[in-house]
Amino acid sequence: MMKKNKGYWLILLVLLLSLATIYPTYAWMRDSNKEMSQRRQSKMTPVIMLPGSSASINRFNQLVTLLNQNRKEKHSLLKIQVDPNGKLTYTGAINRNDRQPLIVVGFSNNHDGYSNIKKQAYWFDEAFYQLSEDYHFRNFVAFGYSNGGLIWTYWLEHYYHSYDDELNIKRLMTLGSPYNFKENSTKMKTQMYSDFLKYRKRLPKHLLAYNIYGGESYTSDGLVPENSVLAGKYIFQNQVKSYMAINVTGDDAQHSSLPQDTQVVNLFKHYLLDKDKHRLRFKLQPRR
Amino acid sequence: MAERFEFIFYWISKKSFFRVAQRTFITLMPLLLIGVMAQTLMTAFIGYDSWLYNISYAYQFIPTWLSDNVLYLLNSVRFASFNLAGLLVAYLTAGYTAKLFHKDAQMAGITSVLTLLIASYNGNQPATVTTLPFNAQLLDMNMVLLPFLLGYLVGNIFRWLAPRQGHKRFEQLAGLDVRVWQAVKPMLVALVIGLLLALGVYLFKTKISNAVFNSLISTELSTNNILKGVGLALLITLLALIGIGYPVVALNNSNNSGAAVANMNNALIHSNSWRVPYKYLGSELYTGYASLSSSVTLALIITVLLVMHNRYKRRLAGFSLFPAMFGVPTGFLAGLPVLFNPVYLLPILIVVTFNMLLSALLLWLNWIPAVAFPVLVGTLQPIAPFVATNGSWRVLVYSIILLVIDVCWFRPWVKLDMKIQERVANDEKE
Repeated sequence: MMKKNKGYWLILLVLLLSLATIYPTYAWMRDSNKEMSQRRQSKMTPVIMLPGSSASINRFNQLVTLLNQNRKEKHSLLKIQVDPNGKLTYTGAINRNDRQPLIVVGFSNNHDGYSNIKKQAYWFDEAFYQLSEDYHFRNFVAFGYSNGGLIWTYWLEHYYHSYDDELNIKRLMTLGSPYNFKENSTKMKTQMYSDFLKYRKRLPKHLLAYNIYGGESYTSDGLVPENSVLAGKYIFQNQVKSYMAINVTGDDAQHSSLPQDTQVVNLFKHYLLDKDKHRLRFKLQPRR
Repeated sequence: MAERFEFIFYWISKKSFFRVAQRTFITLMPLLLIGVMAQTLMTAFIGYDSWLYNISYAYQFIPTWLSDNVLYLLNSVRFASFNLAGLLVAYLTAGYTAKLFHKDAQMAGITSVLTLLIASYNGNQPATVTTLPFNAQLLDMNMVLLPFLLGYLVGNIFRWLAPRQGHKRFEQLAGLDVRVWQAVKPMLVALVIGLLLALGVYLFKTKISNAVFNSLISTELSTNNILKGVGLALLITLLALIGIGYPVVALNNSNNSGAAVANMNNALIHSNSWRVPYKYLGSELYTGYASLSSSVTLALIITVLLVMHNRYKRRLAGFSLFPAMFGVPTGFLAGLPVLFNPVYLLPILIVVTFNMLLSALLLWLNWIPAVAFPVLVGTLQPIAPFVATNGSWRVLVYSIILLVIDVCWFRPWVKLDMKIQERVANDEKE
């Protein structure tokens, strides 16, 4: 009889233990399901924008003004400055009902060079993680100007995989991004470019990529050689769902004025943003 | 009727195949229990996806370097006890078979390991210094059917070809010489069999790997047809009971099939799972209420604790209760043994069918919601369906009632097993 009792005690103990864990498990489950549910229901698709080297978070102010021109629903603008220690400073805010807020992430240390791009990708990841936690969005769109495009590429190859269960990058537009830095030919591969090629298999398969470059002369936008931008082809083509290279020329096709070039603004609107709903509804009104 | 039943099972368990199986798995049990403990700690307590680690928000106060190192050590224990268990099974099976017929057990064991290694040679993979060129899946605990059959075959080759060996207390060196050379003939025959197997694998490009079961698993993961779901669940359970545990393990991982994702999205949007599109998803019915790694083994362990007198079996059940609560039943299945045990085959298959059909019926009546929300690995099995329905109290009550029903169902079978064990023990004394 003694032995039998032992069995009963053990079962009782385990039973009590399981009962004791019901509440913490329940609490965790509620929180986690709520968070996932928010993400599933989120219709927000932010456009996250990265400026190039030597530029601040205000680099895109003019572009944003142009994007919001003639729109009834203005895109809200949030700017985040990341310090080297990972501290985030916020300017502006996201409107609650804005389906496509614009988010600019800039860095206190905005120097050029591959080693710094790696650091910036790390800092960007800090900001991105916080954004994903705060706003529970499921889809997002990426825009990178100059070195910003390189940071995006590095981040997609090295950081994105830890989010891809829950988050989804839909499009990436890079503007005048020197994938091979100053090199004019892909025969001379910089360390960064070789690394981009080496890890290109990690790029998300469903991504739509747009590579825009300016033509001041026939071979460069005045700063970045055309061939360095076009080297992006070997990174993206056949890796992502589609890749498109677009050449813009004209008055504002010089590297530093590219972000406010009318053609670039139109391409941005066309490929990265939804149509303005009010205008759309007017156009599609059914005939009676 | 009951006596007739008892006699049939007694007669079956007297067959050399099953006698060898029981001995092999009981011998292996201590090793597996160690692995099971490591596995439980990993999947339920310390791993990053584990139950306790998440519900206690341990990532906020336990540094990653500490968890990383502990996980590394636990992984080494788990790997050592599970991933090469096939070699030990081959050794033990051949040894026990030879011993049963009074032949040289040691040499039979060694020969069996040799044959298994030859048959599982995989030279197509690049062999670097750190990776051995063997098909690891064949040597894994989740695939012991093949090592077991091979061991039994090699044991029988010794039965036919090797001379009889009496029991010696401590053999002399000269005697050892004789014994070793006597093993040459059966060894060569076994070697040829091993070579033929390896050649067959090579020539026919047979994929002896877990991939064989992938279509089976993916169908179970996506079928909404109750009969199909139950049929596949029975097949998967049967495979697990004869030493192919991979499908059960694979089903326990998170389900990423289109149907399951659709269910989860629907459930997350509505914050409940009453109206999911694929209500009777086979894998969810099975892993929620009827899998060997969920409450079925747990019910059997509780029954053993309540009914059995044998103190070693009770001790095994006591040690296994804890891991089985968190969904790691391997040690108990080998130790009772349930694996290759004809007595438990039928009741377990019936319980799987019953649990799945009853759950499907209640789903159809809209008495319980479907299992659709994500569950942490190593969540306590009796409350896992509760978590997977976002906290439906009806489901919690139902899973506890189901556990009680299963215990009642196993009771006569465990008693039958006791009687047979007694009869076999009496026979062996004589």
